[in-house]
Amino acid sequence: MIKYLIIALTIISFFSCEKVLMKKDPSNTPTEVFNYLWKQMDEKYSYFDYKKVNWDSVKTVYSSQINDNLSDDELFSILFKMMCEVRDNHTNLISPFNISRYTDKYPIPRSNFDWRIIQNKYIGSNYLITGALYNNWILNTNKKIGYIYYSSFSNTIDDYSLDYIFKRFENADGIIIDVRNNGGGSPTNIFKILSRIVHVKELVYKSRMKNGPGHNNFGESLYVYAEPDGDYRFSNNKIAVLINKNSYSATSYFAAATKAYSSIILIGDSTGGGLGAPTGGELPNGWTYRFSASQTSVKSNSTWDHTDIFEDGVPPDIYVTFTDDDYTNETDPIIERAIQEL
Amino acid sequence: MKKKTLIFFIIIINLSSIYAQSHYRDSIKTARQKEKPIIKAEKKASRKARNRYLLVNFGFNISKMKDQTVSPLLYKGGGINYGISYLRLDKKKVNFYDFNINNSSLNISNNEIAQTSASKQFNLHLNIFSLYGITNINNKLFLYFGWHFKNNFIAYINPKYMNSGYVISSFTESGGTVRFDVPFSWKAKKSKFLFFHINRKDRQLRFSFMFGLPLFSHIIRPEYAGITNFVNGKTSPVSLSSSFIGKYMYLDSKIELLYELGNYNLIKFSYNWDFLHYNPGYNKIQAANHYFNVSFVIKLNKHQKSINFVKEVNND
Repeated sequence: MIKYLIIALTIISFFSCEKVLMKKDPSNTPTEVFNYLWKQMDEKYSYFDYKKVNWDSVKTVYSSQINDNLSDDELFSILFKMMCEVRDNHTNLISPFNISRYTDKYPIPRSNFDWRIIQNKYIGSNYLITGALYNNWILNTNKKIGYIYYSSFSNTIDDYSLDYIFKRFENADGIIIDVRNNGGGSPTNIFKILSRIVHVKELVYKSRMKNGPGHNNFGESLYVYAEPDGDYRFSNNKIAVLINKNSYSATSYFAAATKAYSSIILIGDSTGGGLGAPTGGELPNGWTYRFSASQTSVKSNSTWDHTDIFEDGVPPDIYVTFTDDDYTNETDPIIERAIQEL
Repeated sequence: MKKKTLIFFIIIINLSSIYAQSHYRDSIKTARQKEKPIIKAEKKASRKARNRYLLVNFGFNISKMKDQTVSPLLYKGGGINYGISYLRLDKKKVNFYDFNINNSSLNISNNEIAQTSASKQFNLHLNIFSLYGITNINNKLFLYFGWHFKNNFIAYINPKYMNSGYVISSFTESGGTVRFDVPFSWKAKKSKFLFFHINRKDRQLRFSFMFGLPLFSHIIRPEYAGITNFVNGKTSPVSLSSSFIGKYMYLDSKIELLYELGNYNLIKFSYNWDFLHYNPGYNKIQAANHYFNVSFVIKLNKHQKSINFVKEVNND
């Protein structure tokens, strides 16, 4: 009998031991949630110094609005506004009733992209859909120019599609790669496309990740290269890459990478940014967040002695935007300029 | 105070293990010095007479996990275990090789949080024990000391955390283990059913308690930011950093009941508790598991007339 008692007591003692060793969940009051999120961003967000954001002042401003009687809607709104202070589209707060997102005000009235105009005037309705890529020859021009539209880096590109398209356009005078309104996705697809349009291996950008709580604590830089690959490539003639403010995240990485090659011209408006890899996590009340935890820098003035951080957007080589007349006349001035350059 | 007590126990257990090992070797050495030519044959015979068992384990677990890489919240849940083990023993030494897999589904444990957040967890446990019998008290309590090598691989996926949703950890350690064995029997009662008189055999059982503490450890955990730099298109967001030192604690204990089936085969009921704590100053993790297993213990060398594991293993 004593033996059974010992066994039972031993088992019970483990459960008790565990309760002592494991701390309870933090409270999920608005104050606790606010402090937790502020601290997570303070220690892991990567662009405070670059964006000249005084995060301590942000805490002072928003903590005064926090009390434990706030409703979920009110708390969400305050946290969302606090996160917007870093002006970063890779910053989201996710609750069961809403997903916050930072949207910069457009400096120009239009998005610089209209698929209807592209279809009606430049590629017709018989364009090919090869995997994730829409493609056709540009119509009504005396040059042989291939047009490729890629709507999202989340859509995987396979080698077959790239072989097919670059074989199709192998005798072209130039190719337009349109990544306007492409919100990003997987960086793997960036290098699949680059491998078909570059002729030499180049360092295209450097990226470093937060590795400590200080605003300037970063690990060693990751050197990222693009190199030629694949059976069919297009690297003898010029290529135009079209961008706008809705080109974001992986699309900004793609645009930044093209800066390393003189044969590739960026045309349009600057991208929306998003050159920080976002990390994610959970708050004490079960909501989730994400924000940038890395910095990316690009070659500046043809040298790596100086680098540019294009977190606010990768600037085009040739700045072109739509006017109201362009919409009226059903003309895409960005494509027009690309045709002219190629 | 707690820390000092723990360090004290770690030192005591590990020193005892070293002593046990040297004691075992010394006894062999002395014998060897006495009669060198005979000892080889004896050793060979002893090796052959060693009991060898294959264990097939099935069971379920209750798990708790708090990994601050992605969440300050405690996750609770359960799952299933399965695995195989190999046991080799004689009167003085026990070697145990154990490989178990565990699949669990965990969720937020706080009832005040309405959201669900399912984490799928996958654990691999590799344990190797080498234990040396030190003493027994009136054939009722047996004491072993020895060393262990353990690897605990934990991977879990929670899509809610997006890029940080794949968390991989590996905890490898070696240290000292102490084990107490208490064999006992369950007296069978004679019973009568209609005209039949039923005489059942006494049940031989064995209660074991094992407790280990680490001495050396190697840990692989997510990097500070929770993700790695995946912008080169080649690496995944799953980040790993490795360290040999850290604020690491791993406690585990096992209670076993062995029941003789006859024909030298056995059935084993075991309850295993482990607790893991690692805090390098960021991304702290705490995990506790309770495993309830049933094992079929198959004797591999049945042709050998050897000791009864339940009853006689320690009878010198």
